[in-house]
Amino acid sequence: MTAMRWFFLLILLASWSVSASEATWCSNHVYRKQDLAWVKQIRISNNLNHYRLDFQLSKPNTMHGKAPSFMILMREPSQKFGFSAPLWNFMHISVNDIPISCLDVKETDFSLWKKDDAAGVDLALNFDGVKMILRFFMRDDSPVLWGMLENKNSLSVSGTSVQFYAIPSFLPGSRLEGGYGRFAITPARTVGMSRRDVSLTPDDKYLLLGDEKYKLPDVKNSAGPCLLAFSYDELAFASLSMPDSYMSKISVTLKNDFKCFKFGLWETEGIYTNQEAAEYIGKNPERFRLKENRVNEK
Amino acid sequence: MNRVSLVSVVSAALCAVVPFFSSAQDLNNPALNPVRRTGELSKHDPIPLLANKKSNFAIVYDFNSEKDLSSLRKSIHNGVNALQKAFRNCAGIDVPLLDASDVEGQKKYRFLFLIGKSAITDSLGMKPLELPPEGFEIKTFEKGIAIVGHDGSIESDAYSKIDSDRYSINGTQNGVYDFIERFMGVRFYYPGIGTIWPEVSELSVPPLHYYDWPEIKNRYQYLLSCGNIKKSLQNEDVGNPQDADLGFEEYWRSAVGTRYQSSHAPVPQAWLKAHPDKADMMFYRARNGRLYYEPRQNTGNYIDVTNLDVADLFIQDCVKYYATNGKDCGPWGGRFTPNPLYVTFGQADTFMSFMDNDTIEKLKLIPESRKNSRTGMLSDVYARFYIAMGREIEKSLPGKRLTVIAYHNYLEAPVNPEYRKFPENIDVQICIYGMPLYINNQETVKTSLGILKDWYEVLGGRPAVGMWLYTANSDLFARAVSGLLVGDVQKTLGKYMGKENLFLDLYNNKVDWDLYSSWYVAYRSLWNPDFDIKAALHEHWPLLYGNAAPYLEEFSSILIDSWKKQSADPENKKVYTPAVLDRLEKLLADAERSLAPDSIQMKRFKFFAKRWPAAISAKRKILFFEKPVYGIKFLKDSDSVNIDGKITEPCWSVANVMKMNNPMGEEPKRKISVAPRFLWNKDGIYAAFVTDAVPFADKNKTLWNNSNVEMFFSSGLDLNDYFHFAVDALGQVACGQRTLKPVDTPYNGNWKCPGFRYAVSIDSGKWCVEAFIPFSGLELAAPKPYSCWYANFILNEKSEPEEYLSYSLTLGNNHNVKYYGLIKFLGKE
Repeated sequence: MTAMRWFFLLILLASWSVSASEATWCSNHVYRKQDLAWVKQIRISNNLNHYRLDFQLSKPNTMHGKAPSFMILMREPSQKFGFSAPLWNFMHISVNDIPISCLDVKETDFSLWKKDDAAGVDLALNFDGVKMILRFFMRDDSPVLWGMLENKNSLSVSGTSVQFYAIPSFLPGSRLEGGYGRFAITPARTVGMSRRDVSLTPDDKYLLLGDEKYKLPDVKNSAGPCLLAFSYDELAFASLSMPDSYMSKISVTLKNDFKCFKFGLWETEGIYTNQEAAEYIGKNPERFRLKENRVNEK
Repeated sequence: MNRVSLVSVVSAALCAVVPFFSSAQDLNNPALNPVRRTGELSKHDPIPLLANKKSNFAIVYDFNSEKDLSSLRKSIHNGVNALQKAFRNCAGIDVPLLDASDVEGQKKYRFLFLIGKSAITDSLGMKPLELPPEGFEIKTFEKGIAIVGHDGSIESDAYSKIDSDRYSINGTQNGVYDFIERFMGVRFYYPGIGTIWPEVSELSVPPLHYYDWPEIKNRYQYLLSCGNIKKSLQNEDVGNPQDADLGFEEYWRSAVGTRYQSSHAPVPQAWLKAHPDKADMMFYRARNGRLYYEPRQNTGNYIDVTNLDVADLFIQDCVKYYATNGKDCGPWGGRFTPNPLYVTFGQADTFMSFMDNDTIEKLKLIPESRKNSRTGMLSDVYARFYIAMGREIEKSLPGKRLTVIAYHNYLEAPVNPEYRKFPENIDVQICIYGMPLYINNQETVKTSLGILKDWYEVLGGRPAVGMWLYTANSDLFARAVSGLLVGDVQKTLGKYMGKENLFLDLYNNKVDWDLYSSWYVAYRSLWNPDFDIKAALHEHWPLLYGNAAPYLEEFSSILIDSWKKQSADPENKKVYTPAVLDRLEKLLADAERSLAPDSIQMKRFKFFAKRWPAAISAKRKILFFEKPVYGIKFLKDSDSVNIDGKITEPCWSVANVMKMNNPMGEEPKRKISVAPRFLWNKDGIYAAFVTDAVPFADKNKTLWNNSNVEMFFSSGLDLNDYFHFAVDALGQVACGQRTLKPVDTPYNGNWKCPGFRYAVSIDSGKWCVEAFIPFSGLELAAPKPYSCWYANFILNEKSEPEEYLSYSLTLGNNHNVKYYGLIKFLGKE
């Protein structure tokens, strides 16, 4: 067992007891800050894990016709792969064919909050009059970054979709011979790579996204699997796109009358095997379980 | 200090202490006009004109010469005055004047300084009329020095009553200025403190004999007249020069040395006044019914060059003019009237992007290959017209020549073989945009040479005899270098460019004297394209700036090198880098630090440097240019806007206010506040410009000369086309459209936007333009919420203090689409 793995297990042991979650604005290095109109960075943490999200608006491309674009980036904990870099957007939302990237998001649209056993950030969104709240938070008892998209309108909304993007594992170049070995483990099944999208069902409560070729011990740039969980209560349709390629995508289409779509993302700073990750999730089901109605009452 | 700078400082210091005259005898001073030809030297000792500021010579000329001529044409007298003034200013002596016939008087002086043709110069074998017009000969002889030029004043028939007042052949005058520069060290860089009259106590002239004459015959710049110089100077900046020291036309040899002339003539209003019943025949009427006659200015008029009766009418007027010896001159309105050799025709200065009528259609005067050509669409139309005029002149006015212009979209030579044989009596003046600024750009040179060679063929092996050259309008970096490239234009275009006329358009209706170095060498280069610009500038830095010379010389070198690189590759983003701009700023700072605060060098430096900090700052902004983004709020269904010129509706109060800036990237002067606001709904865009100023609004002026606002929209982000709206404070309006892709086509000023509405109000020190631009009028669907368009908005406030503001950069060109900002159509609240 490598020193790194011992360190990871020590963290798991040390974090057995719960601690208060916290959400704070922070200031870290920003790649090509000169290209951004503004950036807001938030750190949401508890003793079990921490996440850093960067919300940023790009400036219009100087000469060649790109409009300003709003982006949500995950920069920590893994710092590389999973839902983090090099992805620019791990989450796309579209309402009535209006993508979140083109909205007129302002710095004043964010608010930090803390309540009882959770803390996070709310972002007020306006899709041409359709008001929504996008929330990211951590519970004291969970290493997951929980989120929800709440419809603040009384009227039903047609055509709301969300896409999550992930790079399940990083493989050094030598491992790429013969292609990837992507997989998604759900409570109900294991899904392999496919050219076609795979429909997801309520039994697929979460998806542990990884790659068979990823094995420890490995080079220092390795990165392990990550997890996405979401509620099917207000979904019209969900699918997984996991071809033999770098990036995987989970798409959900929300019901017209949806009120609140809940989801959770998990990745860690430490390096661990596919099996260790699966065991950790299996042994700690409460930590990875969506909890109904708690944060709605914020 | 680096090595180069140190060397320059030392040489500048040496220049200050070495007696002037020791180097002044050199005919080959590279800082001056190259001497074209030397002659056989007389054998005699050097002539000591001055010894310890004492002289023993007199100026001798023919007192009876140049009677009844205007002062401009008195070459000999002007030369005498210039020479006297030089000795007065440099040596403090008044040189006596003697008539050429005063033999006894001449005996009292050891030496004579002969100016202009006289019996004495004839006896010396000087034959000025064998020189090219305006040329001169300078030679010494045992008894003195003679300067004799080819002057119009010594020819019996040089000037006619119907010649232009500006026409003058002043060789002797040119020779005197050559002498006082070459041998007395006088330099005329700019008025006042920019003119060097060195103290000369010793002046000994060795045997010499040389000739010189100009390359370009018409080197005239009207902005160099005394009156215009006075208008362009902030006199206190340059030491309050006297009127008598503003003779830069003479100093810079700017002259009309030929009868050849070319311009926009006749004056449309004057011509119509002479034929008040012929407006419909004389001026072009578009298919939509618009007659292109504009009573208020030249632009906007368009003589119907498809109608050969118009050509006949013009020639008939010329015949009358000659028959009455110029008395019947009404059609010309005092400008570019026919002269003894030339009849001048030039279309009004209007760009006609689309021209179409039955004649064009029937005769197929717009060839397929030239449709939408920015430089050749109407070439055949004009060629047909010019040829008809030329042939009529052959018949009606034998011996006269016709000058015409190749301009705008009739710049290129015609295509149709029928029109590719011009009569011998037609001379063409070419307007190639991009010269001299882009003379280092291979593509521009190739295109320009292609056009000139084609004309050379059409004109039967003759070049287009004249050209217009264009400096940069507002970019100081380009403008400061433009004059330095004038000689390169002549050398590059070679035999395909004629020598009759090169007109350097300085824009802005004034000479900006802080850029004197650019203009000084430009006019030197018109005299001789081989003028050594580098040597001239190198000589002048220490003369004007003392210790600061090395810094300013490097500053100038960077400007020159940078522009040459930029013009060679306009897309090169690595020319005016932050490091280059930092260096320029540091050189100015070092130059200032090197000078004593109250010195004349410091005063000159302040004058030289005053515009550069802002220009460098602007360049830096351009380098880091970011498109502004303005969010247009969506107009609620419950709200409405009444287009009445008043923004009283509550919805205007929630509209975002657009920030306006300096269009050149400089710090906004914000003398005037303008608050544009925009709203939109599915039908169109609502615009309101409220300006805190009493507008300039004169009904006798066109929209462009009154206070006005302009709006430019390009839907989406592909820059396929753009739409242009302009409204002035009187409610005059202009609309236009230009397609950019897939084929870049000319601006269409005839485009109309159905449903466009606007209203103007003027009220207690404010004026407001309110407008509605319907999407249907642009033939566009309403944009999707949150989508973006390119746009720019301009305020041209013409009341004092004048203000020019824009939403995004224009760099002086409001149609500069690549710098347009963005407008974002926000969704419902």
